[in-house]
Amino acid sequence: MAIYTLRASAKRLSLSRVVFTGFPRGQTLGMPNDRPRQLEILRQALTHLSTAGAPLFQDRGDDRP
Amino acid sequence: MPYAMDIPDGAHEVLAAWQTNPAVVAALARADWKAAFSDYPYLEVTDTPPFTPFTKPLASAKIAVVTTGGIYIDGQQPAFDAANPLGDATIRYIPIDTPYSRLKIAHDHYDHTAPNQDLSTINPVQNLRILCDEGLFRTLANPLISAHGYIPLWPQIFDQLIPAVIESLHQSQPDGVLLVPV
Repeated sequence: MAIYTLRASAKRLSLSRVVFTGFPRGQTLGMPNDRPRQLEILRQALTHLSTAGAPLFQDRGDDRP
Repeated sequence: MPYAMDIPDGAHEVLAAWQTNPAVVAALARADWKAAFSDYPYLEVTDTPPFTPFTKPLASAKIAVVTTGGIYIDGQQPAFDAANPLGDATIRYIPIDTPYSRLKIAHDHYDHTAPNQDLSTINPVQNLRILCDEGLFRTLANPLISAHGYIPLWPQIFDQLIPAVIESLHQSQPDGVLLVPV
């Protein structure tokens, strides 16, 4: 399970499980000092990890503030 | 943990040609990344990646973390070779109870403004401990595995980085791994 900011490299590597956050490089896990959103990103990633079934590419890039 | 991917045939030769191209050497020397990587032979993975369904209940799982933000323990570990135009494929093992105040970043290929304000933007350990305390998962594997995400000679990832990561994971025996490319 990977949390990625760069959609192109995640797709290039055909990673099987990705949460794409769309934040700039250097803040993969959310904006600084925004703990609620940081926790939500991690919660989403771990929840997807535990979802049995096919690979997935979860795009949360549109959710960024 | 199976590791089934091999370096594609000819990869070393292709990268050697890129690495020794005088135009690339000159561009790397002046940190002109756009010019240096205009004809870079990216690794393209077209095979379906190996996928192992995660069947254990998350609440009873042990989770490991790998980040590529170039984090190291100041004064205790050598910094990553951030100035090397050909990258650094070594790793640092960081005990998960290490205070963030002791951690530094050595990585010249992304903006440090956000992590300098809040290291949780690239290092999830503190936030994962909160989620662990909430019961989302059982425990966090120790140590955090820290790598330097700029490794243009990507066979080094196969030859050096991944074997070191796997060795660490064999010791900590997690049920799942969270990768945080920066």
